[in-house]
Amino acid sequence: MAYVDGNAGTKPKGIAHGVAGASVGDYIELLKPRVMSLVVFTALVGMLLAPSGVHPVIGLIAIVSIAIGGGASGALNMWYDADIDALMSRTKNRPIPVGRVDKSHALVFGMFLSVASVILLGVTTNWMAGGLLAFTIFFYVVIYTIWLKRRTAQNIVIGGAAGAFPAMLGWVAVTGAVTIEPFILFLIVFLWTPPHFWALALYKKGDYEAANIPMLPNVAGERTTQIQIVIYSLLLGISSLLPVFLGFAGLAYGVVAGGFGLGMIGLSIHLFATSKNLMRARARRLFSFSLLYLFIVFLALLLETLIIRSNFFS
Amino acid sequence: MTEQTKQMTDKQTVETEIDEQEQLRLKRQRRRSIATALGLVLFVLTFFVLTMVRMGPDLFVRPL
Repeated sequence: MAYVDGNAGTKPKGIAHGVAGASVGDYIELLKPRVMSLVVFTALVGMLLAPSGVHPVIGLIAIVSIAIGGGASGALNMWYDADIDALMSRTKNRPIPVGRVDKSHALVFGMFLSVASVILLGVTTNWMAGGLLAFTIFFYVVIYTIWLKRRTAQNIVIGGAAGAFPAMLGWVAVTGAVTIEPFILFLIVFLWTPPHFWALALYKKGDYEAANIPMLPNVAGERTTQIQIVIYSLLLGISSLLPVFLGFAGLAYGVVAGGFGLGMIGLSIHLFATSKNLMRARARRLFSFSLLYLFIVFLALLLETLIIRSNFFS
Repeated sequence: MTEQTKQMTDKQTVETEIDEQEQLRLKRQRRRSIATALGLVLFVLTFFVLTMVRMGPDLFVRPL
């Protein structure tokens, strides 16, 4: 079922096309710098956790390639979603809906960067990593943005894989192989995505309604969403402890991941038990906390590994 | 102010606005060109550095 009629009517009526043309900043905005920072961080953690070392220059170029690939996905997402972006308060000021960047220019920009980033990563590290980056871009743009986002309430669950790949990419760029460790990193980000975006969808429900995007709160209701958030937070809490059980993380990480996992579960139960009046505020709180959660859990894993490797306490 | 003077002032204001917009357009175009050039230079430099790192000291070990 298509909730939004194709990609028609991209430019909202009454908004003049940018007569002065796009600035460099507009093109940078197309790359979604905030999402890029998350991509860079998770990829860096994946890279530094990998058992074999990598030349710092190669590592730097690999991280830049992954960041460019992530940015290219963002540009292609903005190209396709320009019509619905214009309808939501959170996205209506993006460069394409306001007419500062032409849609076709965004498409060319995104395509060029996609190809360049894949080639650069493949040449710099290995073609398994290059191929995985190409698949990540394809998954985010075609599977998530074009196919799932406007059709199913499970859009963010399946589409979450696209955001989870960078951690795996960092590891594969160094080792050239997918083993259980990068898969666990992937799983943590994958399970983190639904509670994070459903919390956003709860307090921005009107936005998604206006754009006719079938987010879970709009399709299945707030109660079902709150229950799903609790379930995914529980799964996230458990999966974040897997590195300890599988032996590639120690007690310090376990304490941090366990503590923050309990925080996620606690806030999601708090959201479930809340009255309708306080729901938006608590959803916003969970959304903010989830950002901190991912950062702290990955940072703890990284710091512990680096400290153990450097024999700091011996 | 006569009608003719008013019309001339309006025309001058419109012309000034068009001129400012044109200047802004040219400025943005120039900056985009510089950014593209810098991007290309960085791309070339990246491949140069990558070659150096990949080949290491062997780069200079070759028969004359």
